[in-house]
Formats: sequence, C-alpha cells, structure tokens
Amino acid sequence: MNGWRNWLDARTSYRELCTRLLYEPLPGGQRWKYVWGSTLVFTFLIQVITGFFLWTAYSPSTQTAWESVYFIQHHMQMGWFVRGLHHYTAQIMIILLACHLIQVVIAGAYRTPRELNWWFGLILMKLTLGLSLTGYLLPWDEKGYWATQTSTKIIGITPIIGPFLQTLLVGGVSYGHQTLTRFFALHAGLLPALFILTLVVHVALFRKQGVTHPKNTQRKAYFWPSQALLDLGASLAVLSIIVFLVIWGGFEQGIVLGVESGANLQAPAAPDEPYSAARPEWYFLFLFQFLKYFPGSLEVVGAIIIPSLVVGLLFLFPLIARLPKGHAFCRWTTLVLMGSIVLLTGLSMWSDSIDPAYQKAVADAEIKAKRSIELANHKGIPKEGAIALLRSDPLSRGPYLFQTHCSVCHRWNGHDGTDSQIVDPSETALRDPKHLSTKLVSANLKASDLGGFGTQRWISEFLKDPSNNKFFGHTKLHNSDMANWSKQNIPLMSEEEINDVSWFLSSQAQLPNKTPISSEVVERGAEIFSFGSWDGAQPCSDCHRLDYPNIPATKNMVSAPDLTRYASEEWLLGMILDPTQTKYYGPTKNEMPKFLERLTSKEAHLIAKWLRRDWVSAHQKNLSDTSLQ
Amino acid sequence: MGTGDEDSLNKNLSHKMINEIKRRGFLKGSISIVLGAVLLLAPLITGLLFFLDPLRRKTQTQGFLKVGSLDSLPLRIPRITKVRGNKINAWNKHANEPIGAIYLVRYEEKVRAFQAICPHAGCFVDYSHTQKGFLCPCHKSSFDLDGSRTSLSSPSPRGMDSLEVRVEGNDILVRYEEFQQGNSEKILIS
Repeated sequence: MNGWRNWLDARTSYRELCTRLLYEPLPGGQRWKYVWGSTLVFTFLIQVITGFFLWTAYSPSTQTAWESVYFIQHHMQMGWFVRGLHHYTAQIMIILLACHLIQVVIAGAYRTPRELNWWFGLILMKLTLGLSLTGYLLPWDEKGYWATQTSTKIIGITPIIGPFLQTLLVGGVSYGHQTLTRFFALHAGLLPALFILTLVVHVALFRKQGVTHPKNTQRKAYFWPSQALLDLGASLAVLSIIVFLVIWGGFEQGIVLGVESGANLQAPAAPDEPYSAARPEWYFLFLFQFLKYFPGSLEVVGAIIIPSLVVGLLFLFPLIARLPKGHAFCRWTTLVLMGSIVLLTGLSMWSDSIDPAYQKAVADAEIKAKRSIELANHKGIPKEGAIALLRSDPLSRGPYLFQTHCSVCHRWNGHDGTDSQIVDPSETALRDPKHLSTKLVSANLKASDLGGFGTQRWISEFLKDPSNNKFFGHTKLHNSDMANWSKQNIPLMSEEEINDVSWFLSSQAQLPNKTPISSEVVERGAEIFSFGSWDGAQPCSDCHRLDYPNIPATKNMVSAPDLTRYASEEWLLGMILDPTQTKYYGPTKNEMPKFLERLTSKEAHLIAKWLRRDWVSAHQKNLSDTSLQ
Repeated sequence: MGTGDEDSLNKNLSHKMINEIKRRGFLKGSISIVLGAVLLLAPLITGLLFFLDPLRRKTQTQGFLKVGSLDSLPLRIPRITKVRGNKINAWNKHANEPIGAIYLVRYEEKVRAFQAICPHAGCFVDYSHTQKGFLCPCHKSSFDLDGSRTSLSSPSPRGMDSLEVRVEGNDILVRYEEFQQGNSEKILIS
C-alpha cells in the first residue's frame, strides 16, 4: 500500500506539497467569515465543468446558436440541468463576489501588505463581469441580443477608442455570425484563461500573506480539516441553492413534471422585430437605472466616466487606507457603494413593476418564447434557423401584419391585433368583457371587428344587427340592403333559426377550431338560407350566391357577396387581395383598398390564416417523439 | 500579528504536531473528503450524462427509398447514385436530403446495390473502369463487380456491403443502411 506512495513521493514530494497546501496556519482558528473565497473557487469550478460540457453541444452562428441551445435545453439528456447549473451559478457568483469584497474591506484585508492581492481580486471581479456579459449573448435569444446591443453601444461611446473597440468586439458594424464567434472565443477561451491565471496569483498571494486574523490570538490552528469543512459546508449550501433554482426553473419550463409556465430560453433574436422587454441581467440593473439620470450627450458620464472613477477609487483603497482615517473612509465608501447599487437595482425593479407596458412586453416575450419552442418541437428547425419558423407562423406574424395593414380600419376584438389575449383560442373567452383589451388604437374605425370572423357567434351577431359599429356601422353599408333585411326579417325568425343559418354559414368556413356541429343543424340552416324561415323571412339566397346542393340561383340583381366557402382561407385571400371583385362587394359597395400590390402572397396567406385561427397547436405531435426511437 | 511568526510556525510544523492534528481531525477530514467529492461529482456526473446523450439516439430506418430508374442504368457497369431521405441533424430536420451514396449494378432485370463506404476503414470506394472492379483509394482494398474481395490478402475484412433492392416497374428502391467497419461480419449501425 505504501510502496507506490513512497515511489511517487520520491519523485514528486507530493506529501510535502499536500502538507503545505492543507496545513496552512490559521491563527485564531476556523471561521465562517473566511468561506467566501473558497465558495467562489467552487462556483468557478462548476462553471469550468459545465461550461466544457455545454461547449460540446453549442454552435456559435446566427442560424445555429439559438437552435443548439434549444436542443441542449429541450432534447439532450440532462441538458436543462447542466445549462441550468451554468446559468444560475453565474448569478450566484456575483452575489458571492459582493460578499467576498465586503468581507475583505471590513476586515481590512486589502491593506498593506495585501495591496497586490486586492488588485488581483478586482481584476477577477472585472473578468467575472466580462464572462457574464459575453455569456449572456451566446443563446442568441431576444433577451440576450437586445441587452448586449446596449452593452456594446456603451462601449462604443467610450471617448476616442470606443468605436474601434465596438467594431472589433462585434466583429463588424452590426451583429452577425462574427459577433457570436468572437463572444464565444472570449467567453470560453480568453476570459477563463485570464481568470485562471489571475486566480492562481490571487490564491498564491493569499497563501503568502495568510488570513487577516484577529489580533493577539494565541490559538494555533490550521486550514485542514476544520476550515476546510466549513468551506465545503458553505459550498454545499451554495450548490443546494443553485440546484434548487435549476429544478425550480426546470419545473417552470415544464421539463420537470411537465407543467409549463416560464422559459429560460426566449424567442430567437430578430433585429426587425420590436422587443420592449429589453433589460440587462439583474446584477447590471443598477447601471441601467443609473444611466436614466444621464440623458443625451451626458450618457458617457454615467456609462463610462463615473463607473471608471468608482473602479479607480476601489483600486486606490490600499493607498487611501494609509492615510489617517483612510480605512474608515474605505469602509464607508464600500457601504455607500453597495447601498447605492441595492437602491438603484430596487428602483429599477420597482419602476418596472408598476409599468404596465413593460409587464405586457415581458408577458408577450414569454408567449413568443413558448411559441418558438412549440414550433421547433412540432416541425423541427429548417436550415434557415428557428426564426424562419416564427416568420411563417400565422399566430406569431398575424397580429403584427394585422396591426400594420388592417388595424387602420378594422379591429380585432376591440384592439389592433397585438394584444396578448390573441393566444386564447376559445371563442367564449374572446367575447368575455374581462378579456377586452386596453390596447385600443387611436385611428378612426372604418370597418368591422374581425375577431372571431367566420364563427357561428360572429355571424349570428352580424345577422341580428349588421349596422352595429362592430360590423357595418362605420361603412357605407350601414343602411344597405343587408341592414334593411335584418330590420325586417330578424323579428320573423326564432333564435334557433338564426343559430341554424349561422351554423350553416360558419360551416362553409371549415375553421380549424370549429365547434363540432351536427349535419342536421347545417342542413336546417341551408334550408333557411335557401327558402327563408318558418314565419316567412326572406331567404338569403335571394341576394347571395352559394354553391351548395339545392340552393337556388339568386333572384335579385343586387351585388351581394358570394358566400360559397365564406370565410375559408381561399375566400378571405380573394377578399384581402381584391375586394372590388363582383364575387365580393363589387366596385360600387366596396370601400376597402386592394391589397394585391401591398402584401406579398406569403403575408396575405398569414393574415388569412391568422383571422381563421389556423395554426399549428401545441397539442400536436412533438419532434421529440419522432427523433428518438 | 506578524507574518514572521507564521513562517516559523510553518517551518517548525513537526510530524508529532501534524499527527496530533490528524487524529483530532480524522472525522472532520473524512467528512470533508466525502463532501468535496460530492460537490465536484454533481456537475461532473450530470455533465457526463449530458455528454453521453448521443448513445440514446438511434439512426432512423426509413424503409425503401427510391434511388433511380431501371432504364437509365447501364448493364454491368456500376453507377454511383445519391440516396435522398429524411435527415435529422440534431435540431435540424430536413426532408429529401442526400444521406449517402451507393453503387447500383444492373444484371439484366436484376439490380444489386452496394454501400459506397469501404468496409475496411470507411473511405469512399472508387470504381475503376480499366480494372472492371471497385478499388478503395485509401488502403487499396479491391472488390469484384459482385462486391466480393478480389483476393484474401485485400485489407478489407469483408466484401462490399450489399443493400436490399426492390424493383417496382421502372423504379429502383433501396433500403439504405450503414454497417460497422473493420469487422468480418456485416453489423448494422443503429
């Protein structure tokens, strides 16, 4: 047993090395307050280990960064856990760093002869923040993309060298593949290497100088095993907190137990899409808040000059401490600094918490994130990247296309289409007053509200009161033949008859989320459409054409829309592209512009599909079911 | 407090003292070692499980894929042919993507298909018109038109891997599969 140990010791003197490492003198004995440095080393080790494994699966380019992180998070074995460890450890490190710094200042451990150690510690702090900043961009999701835009812009306003530095860091004038490759090289290469070198010097200097122990202590003690046990105990507590956060995060994303509520990975970044939820990570919020007080050209003062002065002041601490009352000054400065950071962070969080626009932006981002993952799970990701999935998704694009092209005249359940309630697919929820939107638009209403268009409910409400502001009220059709028909004939129809005929019309739409309805009802509706109601209401077929068995040709020569496949994708597409066709409102009754030249064919399809709520839903089969056998 | 004291303390650390400390700290030391191991194993083991992810992924068998038509195939002259199929590349999912290459050889109404990958070390096998046979450019394994080794001294441990072929009318369908290299048996990679 001892043979090989002796053999090894004769060649390496490892026993002496272990003795020197473990039996570090610790006058006064073990203390909990000495644990901060060790917990930081431990968290850094976690980052190195998890970082290496993530490296084996991450792919830095604008078409693969989000996609590979998505794959890690949602498809690879323990991927969510390893990424979660890396993600939350980074945040815990910042907290431990602050504790370590405060402890060092309070104990006066930055003073002579430990100046160098203090300075190396400050360099480690800057490297940690650099690692956080570069790591935040790597998933290439909306959150990281927009937050990092701000950071690199701030680097750009540095006097003289700023613009060069920014271009070098970004790898060009705008974000792209090279931004990711550069950030990744910094995050996984240069910064960790510098971190390890600095850490070695920092720890070596610490061992040379020893702990800053209580004065006049007589008790002789050593690092091993008492202090080691405390350090490891503290590390275990840190790990427990991190693992708790990871599991909680996994629980929120539905990875654990399958109940979804949050997303650790947001939607893929798109420079052309609005993102109003942009905030830096919480530990940079104080700077974000601070910048609010430096408008316009003063920004450089708040973003560069003051932070540089503060860091400069920290570097001068060991020298200041030599002055009379210098140590007290340093303690107070640290206290004020930490207090200001906490205060600014709190202010920032508070102002966001009372800002409904920000809250909505966060909720929207969350919905978009889930949708991205849902689409990727369902369809797999095309070569162009996940962003192509969102761009061809009616649920994601429809609201914005509607807002841009349609909401000038139309409404969608009372708003411009972009309210978050659009994701609720149930018809009842849409008409419930408490779901009514606050997101009204200021433009003049000129046309109908298209929320629920083609549903039985929409049609029956329309039949009962076409002149209502929700329908023809704002158009020249408000006293049209249709409005007159309704006034004269609706009183002659029973509620059931109105329902039947609207079910019949709705069945023409073949909506994907339609309520199952018996063919009997549809046939009754078709009969009323063709021949009128029991009490002699005028049949629809007098004015409207509809290609259906036994429906007679129109009698009147008025131009009313052809209701064959009414509200189907094809019908809507024709209506959107050219409503002046006689099949629709014809040249005289129509007020709607032709969109033939204003929309691409893809956009028109997306709007038509979105109006019909025709999109891939979460309940369909997942990629994960087919990619694994 | 003086660092001088600590230095001398360090130097004068006698074995007796260390042994004393060791005895007192045996329990603490043991707990520390176990704790330290647990702390490092947590990220290491989960990381390893993550790294082992590819082991639980199987290749997809796609049944018979159409690779060409009978009338465009010359008699007894191997034709290199691309095989297209569904391809899952981690997060990417493509339909109708090239997934590999095969040689098709027609003998009157019968067609044989060979995997173009050499069973020896995985190089892409050439067809030599002058030698009327297959020749691997890497280690000079050579195969006859029927895929068998030309001599037993050929580096390849087995003949070229034949694939299942079905002719439906004019269409040639092949069950595309890949096999382990370096083995005298044909073992499917799945």
